[in-house]
Amino acid sequence: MNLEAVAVDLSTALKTITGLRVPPWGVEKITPPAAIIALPERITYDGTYGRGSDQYPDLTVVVLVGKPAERSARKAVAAYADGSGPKSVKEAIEAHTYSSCDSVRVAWAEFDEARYNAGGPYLAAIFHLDITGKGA
Amino acid sequence: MAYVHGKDTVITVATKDISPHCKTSTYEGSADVHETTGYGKAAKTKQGGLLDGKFSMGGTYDNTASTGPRNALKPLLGTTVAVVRKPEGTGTGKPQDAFSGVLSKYVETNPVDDMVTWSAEIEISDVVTTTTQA
Repeated sequence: MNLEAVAVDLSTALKTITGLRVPPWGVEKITPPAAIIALPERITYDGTYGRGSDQYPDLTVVVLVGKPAERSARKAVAAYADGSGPKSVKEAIEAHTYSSCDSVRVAWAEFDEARYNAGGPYLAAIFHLDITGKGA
Repeated sequence: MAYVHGKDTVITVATKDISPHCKTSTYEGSADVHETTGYGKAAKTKQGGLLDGKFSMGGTYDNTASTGPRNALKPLLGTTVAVVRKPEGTGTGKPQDAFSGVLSKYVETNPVDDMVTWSAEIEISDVVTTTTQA
């Protein structure tokens, strides 16, 4: 399971949400709404014998919307955090057919205010993904 | 002498390498013990009898057509299968156990918040042949 390939797959899945931008890693400035695919908290190797499987137990996708105090930002973040529907991050990610890994589950989400470089603060929905794939 | 990590363990059942789907496996050898105590003894005496054994394994469910546990093991339930176990992995000089046994149990477990898992048990039939890999 290659981290870059997984990020490309996730990017493709997130781009199916109309209006949500998925900027490439390292871009200097973002325009919300935008989804940032972060690095996993850790990689757990050797889930099964013989390099059978590896796991990213917590890879985060941060969706940044408008200013935290704006009513429209709260409404937008609610749609992205919905368990289903046209803006649902969980539905878009879990509906995708992955070639880079075997299983992707959006396990939970939390909310915060976040900055991206000099931009922001933005209201953010932080999605925590549990990803499992082949080890070798 | 050295400690050995379990991650390199190799298991084949009916010639199919199911190692990539295994997280755990246990070989359990046992033997009958017959009591031979006669009159006048202060403690029991015993003698070994027939050998017996069990082998269990389990891991993460995978729907790979040929070696995924469901496709490789479920159809063999109740039949005698050939098992090769390499507890230290593949390599010259490393040990290997080969035996036949009846696949007596195959279990799939589906938790709502985790991967599907599987486990299986084999009742070993006849002796376990232990060799050193060439």
